[in-house]
Parts: sequence; structure tokens; C-alpha cells
Amino acid sequence: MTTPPEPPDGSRHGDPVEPPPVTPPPGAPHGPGGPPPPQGPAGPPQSYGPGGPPWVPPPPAGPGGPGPGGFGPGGPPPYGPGGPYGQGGPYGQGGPYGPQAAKSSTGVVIATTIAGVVAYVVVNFVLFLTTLMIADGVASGNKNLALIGGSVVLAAIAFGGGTLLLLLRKPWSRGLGMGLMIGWALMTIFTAGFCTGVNPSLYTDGVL
Amino acid sequence: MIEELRFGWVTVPTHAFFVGLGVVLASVVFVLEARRRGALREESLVAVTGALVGGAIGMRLSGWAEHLDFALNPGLVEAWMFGARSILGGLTGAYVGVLVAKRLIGYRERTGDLFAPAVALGMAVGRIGCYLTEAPGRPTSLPWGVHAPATVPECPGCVTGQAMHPSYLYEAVFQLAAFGALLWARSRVDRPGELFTLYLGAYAAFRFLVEFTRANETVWLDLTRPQWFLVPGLALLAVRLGIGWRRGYYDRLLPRRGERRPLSPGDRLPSGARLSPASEEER
Repeated sequence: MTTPPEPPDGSRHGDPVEPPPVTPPPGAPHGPGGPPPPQGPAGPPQSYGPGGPPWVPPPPAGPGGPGPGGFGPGGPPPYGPGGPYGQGGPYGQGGPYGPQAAKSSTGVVIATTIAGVVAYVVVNFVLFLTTLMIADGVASGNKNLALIGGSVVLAAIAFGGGTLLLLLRKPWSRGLGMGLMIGWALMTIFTAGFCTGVNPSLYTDGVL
Repeated sequence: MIEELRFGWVTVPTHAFFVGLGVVLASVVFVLEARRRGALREESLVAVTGALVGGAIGMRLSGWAEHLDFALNPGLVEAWMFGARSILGGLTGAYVGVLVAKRLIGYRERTGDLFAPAVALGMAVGRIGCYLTEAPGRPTSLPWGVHAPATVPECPGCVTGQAMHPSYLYEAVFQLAAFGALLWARSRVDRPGELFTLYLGAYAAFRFLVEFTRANETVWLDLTRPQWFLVPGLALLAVRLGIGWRRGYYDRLLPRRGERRPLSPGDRLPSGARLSPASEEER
């Protein structure tokens, strides 16, 4: 029989588990006697070679559902969008379960995210000083307007600029865009505190 | 009250220092947890971005909906600049922020379990800053009651010189205990997202109770605004946890009566005991 291997127990309780390597026997659905299955993103292959029994899909995850790294209700199937064998199909691209890992851009994204946070903090500091100078130069009734204007400009830099960078869809730009937004959030949290507002002077002293 | 900390010639606002330290520690714990779970990837960073942005907005805007009579609430700008900075508003905003961020990129895996230990440790540290700078709590005659100077605003206990509950320290201790419990439970709760649900349930219940020692204003039936916010939240969480328990999500954590806890990889058998073939396979 060529029934694909059942997922190991870990697929119920742990991260999604890559099925172990399997060498199909001759005459099996995907063996020498049969054509390779469809390579598309769909799940089980639909054809099999002569003499080979039909492909039997792996059993669903147990009643407890998939484990950490698995999927919640309504989520994708336990094996991901590429079906049980990934995007390349069972025997595509480098043989069964062969290396399919795309070049990871995670490192670039993380590094540029940190750079984005630092850049935002610098911009925030410069605009903070600018806003205070402007507020000093206007009538007392308009000081609030100056502060609001400064806040709007900073938010526009973080979210307008951040969104534009995200839309460029490059690893460095995605990281930089997220970094600007994270920087805005961190500055907002740091400068406001996160207690209850029982002591409002904590937040307002030195600002107005 | 310690408004500022001195490190050599550098003076740092106490509150900001502990909030910053909490965020740094939470970030470290998040990265370690993501590595442990094999989830240190861009999608997790997107979730973090959503959490921080949503948390910052929720924290600031919580004062916008302070009263049921909206005429009494501050305007949006006023709430943004001077409103109550509620941790409950921050947590709610962070939760919504993660959902929105994941929806935007089409990411459907649960990420709450990555956040749970990080949030617990970060809040434990941040609450120390609250304790050192804010009205500590309601008056008490308990031996561990603390005193604060009368200069602390909106603090009746401070004015009268009464001892008060160190309510922020209660919360810091709870969060530290929760952090330890989450580290213990993370290998025992397998269902994605359930560790975070357990943490939220525990924190909501604790926060409801600790509000009785906090210096927050009571608005109706001797309950504070956070308590009224938590009433529906607790009901929802109770239903959610009940469903999880019935479906067996927590069986390895809280074995149901009459049921044996499934074996864990680290379990030891008594000497001489033998496992059935099925149990051997399970091990």
C-alpha cells in the first residue's frame, strides 16, 4: 500500500510536523508506474499509476485538534495551503520532501525594523523640540494647537510613511515600515505610562 | 514616592524607567519563546507591531469611553492627551491590533501563546513603576500597609496619613507567579492560543479582585470602572474556558475527575511498573 504516512503524534500536540521521508513502492500511486501527482497548491493528488491503489488522504487531526503551531477553528488544514506535502507536491522539486526553503528574509526584516525604531525615535525627538519652540512662540490659547499639530505630523510619519514602505514589498522596506510604527507605539507608551491616570500630573508635567 | 531615579549623573523618571525595562524584558521573553516554538519569523513581527500600536491607542483612548453618559466623556483630543492610561484599555487594544495586523497579511495561526509569558513579565516590572509613583491603594489596617506623602494627587489615604494597600505590588507578585506558571504550563497546553486564554482568564479574575484594594473611583454598586469593564469580559472568558475544558484542551494541566493524565515525555514510572503497548507507543 502507498497510503501516505500518518502524521506522528506530535502533529496533534506539537508544531506542524513534517511527514517523514517515504519511498513509494513500485506501482504505487506516485511510483515508477504512475505519473507524478499535480504540483499545484491543492491537497491530495488525483491520479495514480496503473496497478496502484488510490491515494488515501491522511486522517484528520484528533479530537483535540492540531497542536501548537497548528490551526484554530476555521484555519487552514493542518498541513498548510500546499496540502500534506507542501507546495511542490509529494515528489516535486528535489524529490520527496526535498529542500524547498526559500531564501529567508527574516534577518533583513528584523534588522531594518530595529533601524526603523531608532530612526523614529530620532525624528520624534527633533519634532518634539520643534513643536515646543513653535508652542513657545504662539499665543497661550494656541499652544494646544501646536502640540496637536506635532502629534499629527508624527503619526503621519509613522503610519503614512510606514504604510508606504510596507507597500514597496521589499524586505528592507517592510522592516523599516514596521519599525516606524513600533517606534511610534513605544514612544506613546513610554511617554504616557500605563497605570490608571490616578496621578495625571505624571503625564502632563513638563508638556504644557 | 520616588519620582526620579539617579544613575550617576543621569536622572530618569521612575515610571518611564520601569515601563521601559518591562518592555525590554517582554521583548526578550517574546523572542526566546518565538525561537522555542519555531515562530521567529516576519509574521510574528507583524503581530508584535499590531499589538504595540493597538495597545498604545487603546491605552490612550480608554478615557474616551469613561462614562456611559457620553456627554460627560472628554473629547477625542482631550482623552488622547490627558485621559486615563488604562492597562485594560491597552490589553484590549493590543488584542484587536494583533487581529487586524494578522488579517491584513492573511496570517491565520494563533500568536497569543507567544505573547502570554512576555506580557506577564513585562507587566510585573512595569507595575513596580506604578507602585513607586502613584497612589498605592485604599486604606488598610493590615500590617503590610504602606504610607505615601500627602502630595500624591487624588489620594485620600495619603492626605490622612493612613496606611494603604500596596495594590501594585499585589499585581506585580501575581504577574511574576503567572509568568512562572505559564513557563510550567506551556508544554502541557497543546492547543494553540489556549495558554493565552488561560492567562487572560486568570488576569481578569485577579484584576477584578485586586480592584477592591485599588484607589480607583467607584462608580456604581461599589465597583470601579475597570470592574464594570471586566464583568462582561469575565463572563465571556468563563464561557470560553468552559468550552476549552469540555473539549479537553487543558486535560494535561487539569485532569478531569476519574481521568488519568496522559503521560508526558518527562514523566517517570515507578520502578517495576510496565506500560501497556498502547502507553509505550504514547510515550
